[in-house]
Amino acid sequence: MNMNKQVMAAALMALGMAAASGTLSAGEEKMEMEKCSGIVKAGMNDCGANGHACAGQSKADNEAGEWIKVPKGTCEKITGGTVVEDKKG
Amino acid sequence: MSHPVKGCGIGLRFQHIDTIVDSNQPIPWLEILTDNYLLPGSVQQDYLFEIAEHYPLTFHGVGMSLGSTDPLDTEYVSRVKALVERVNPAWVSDHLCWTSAHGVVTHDLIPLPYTEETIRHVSQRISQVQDSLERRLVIENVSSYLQYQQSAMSEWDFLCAVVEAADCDILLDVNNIYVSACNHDFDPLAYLNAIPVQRVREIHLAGYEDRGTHLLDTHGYPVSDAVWALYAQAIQRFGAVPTLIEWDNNVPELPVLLAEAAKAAEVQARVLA
Amino acid sequence: MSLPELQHHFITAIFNRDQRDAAALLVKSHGKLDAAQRVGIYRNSVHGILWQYLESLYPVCQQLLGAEFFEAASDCYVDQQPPTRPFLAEYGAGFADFLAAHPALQQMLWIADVARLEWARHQAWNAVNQAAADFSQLANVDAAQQARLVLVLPASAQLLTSAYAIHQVWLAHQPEDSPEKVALEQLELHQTQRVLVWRAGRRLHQVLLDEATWAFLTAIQQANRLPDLAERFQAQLPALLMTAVQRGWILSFTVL
Repeated sequence: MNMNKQVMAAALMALGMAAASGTLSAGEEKMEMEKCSGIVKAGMNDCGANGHACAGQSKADNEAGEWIKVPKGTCEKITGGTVVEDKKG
Repeated sequence: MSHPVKGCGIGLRFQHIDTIVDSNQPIPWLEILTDNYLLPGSVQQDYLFEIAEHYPLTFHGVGMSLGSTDPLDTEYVSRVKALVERVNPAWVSDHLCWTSAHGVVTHDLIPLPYTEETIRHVSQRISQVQDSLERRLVIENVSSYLQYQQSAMSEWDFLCAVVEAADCDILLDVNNIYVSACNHDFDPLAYLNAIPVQRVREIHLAGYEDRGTHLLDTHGYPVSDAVWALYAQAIQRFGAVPTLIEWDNNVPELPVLLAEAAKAAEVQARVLA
Repeated sequence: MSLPELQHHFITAIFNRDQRDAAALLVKSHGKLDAAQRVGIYRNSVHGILWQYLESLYPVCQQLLGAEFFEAASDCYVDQQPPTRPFLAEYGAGFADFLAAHPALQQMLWIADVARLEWARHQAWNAVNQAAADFSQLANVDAAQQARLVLVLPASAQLLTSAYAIHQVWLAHQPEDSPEKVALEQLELHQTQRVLVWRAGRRLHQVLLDEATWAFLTAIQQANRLPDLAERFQAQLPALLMTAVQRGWILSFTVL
């Protein structure tokens, strides 16, 4: 318990120091591979919010339930991405 | 405080939001898609509040489902109201259509059958929304690809009856009139000439796509020549109504959009000279 | 037919191709299109709108599965679980589970985990804005309060763990280069990855966490009090805290 008190005191001191030193600079952030707004806005979608605006330019009327095919995308490039895996359980 | 909306503006799209926030663009006014800003405290609202300080704004929604026979979604209405009170747009619009029914939401604009029953129902719903928002609502005509068997009047007679009964205003989408006129073989001028001049608050322009069997309102192209010609007729009848360019698919760079808005301003100047 | 009945027939046809004929009875055939084709335009339009929305939400899954498969999966998902709320940003939460249950993807369950990561990014982006607390106020917290001190992650914080290299797969599909990025062909898929996604202002962040940091942030998310954190993390705690505050992973504190 005494040990935990020491840990807590050190922890609070660390918190105070971290707060005083501020957050990491933009340069340091970049090093750690983070996404800025350019990518993020993919999640901000206008077209769904304007009616027929995105009425699927090349949209085919797919028959639901009759389309189970093999995916043909970048998953094929990943080693072990499409092969049978050992199923546990 | 609300900036006055006049002249020819553009719809605000996320691709352009940083440019518009970072530099003072010569844009007479911006229209937002209300539905994209309904998350309280979100980053989208954060952008909007910044933009609202610099540009006149109008709100254009797609989710009110005014023609639905489901109960009005009170959460939706109250979120719109909170945003309206915070930003104070020049006006708030939505569509004369239904988007949801039986608890399922399509996120698409589906036309209504043009009957007395529908007029009563929709006008009552519009009144309900106007009472909740404590604002007049502006109602837009949608483009359509079908006509119901039971429709008993023209679209323009239906629109006029609804706005009269609900005492609301009109957002006249000239491209939608043209698209529907081609799809259903009616005279777009007959439509324009039936609309009460004093109720038209705003005009929309956009580009459609010709699918061979029908015109599709994709908002993905420049405004067509035929729609520019119809727009000139509309300005002749309604005067210098604030006009907005909508572009949602294959969204071009900002200067292209602004050039399209400038073209609308030129048509206004030419017709009203 | 009453308006509620008409809307019922129509909306049923939009989310069920087999019900089109009943809706077509409500619609005029004219010009180049018959009534069923006209109803079909609306079915396609709704599916097109939601497909484009799902593509923007799940761009890496779209690339992994290929455009054709993704479109078919989207159409099927939309029919099975149509939207029920007018707020589009809420739609698509069940897409990862849908992919996990898909018969064609039973040997590729990792793709559903990539979908979970993409949904977490969407959630983080849509979370509320928050300002960081003033940690200097900690100096005013007395010993009794320290025992009830709880640290708080940003509302946007999403902690994910997967038995697969979901962060690496995601990175490999981004156009930008980064030191961590590995080409898909060289990627070791079978490795546990712990990911934190959070938003600070207008920026979305995604980082890989080590096991200790993951456990630490998870404990904070579960509102563990400071003495419990001290008990569990012992001498590691000060450094864990320091990093977490500096990185913006801990936004504020509260005394329960």
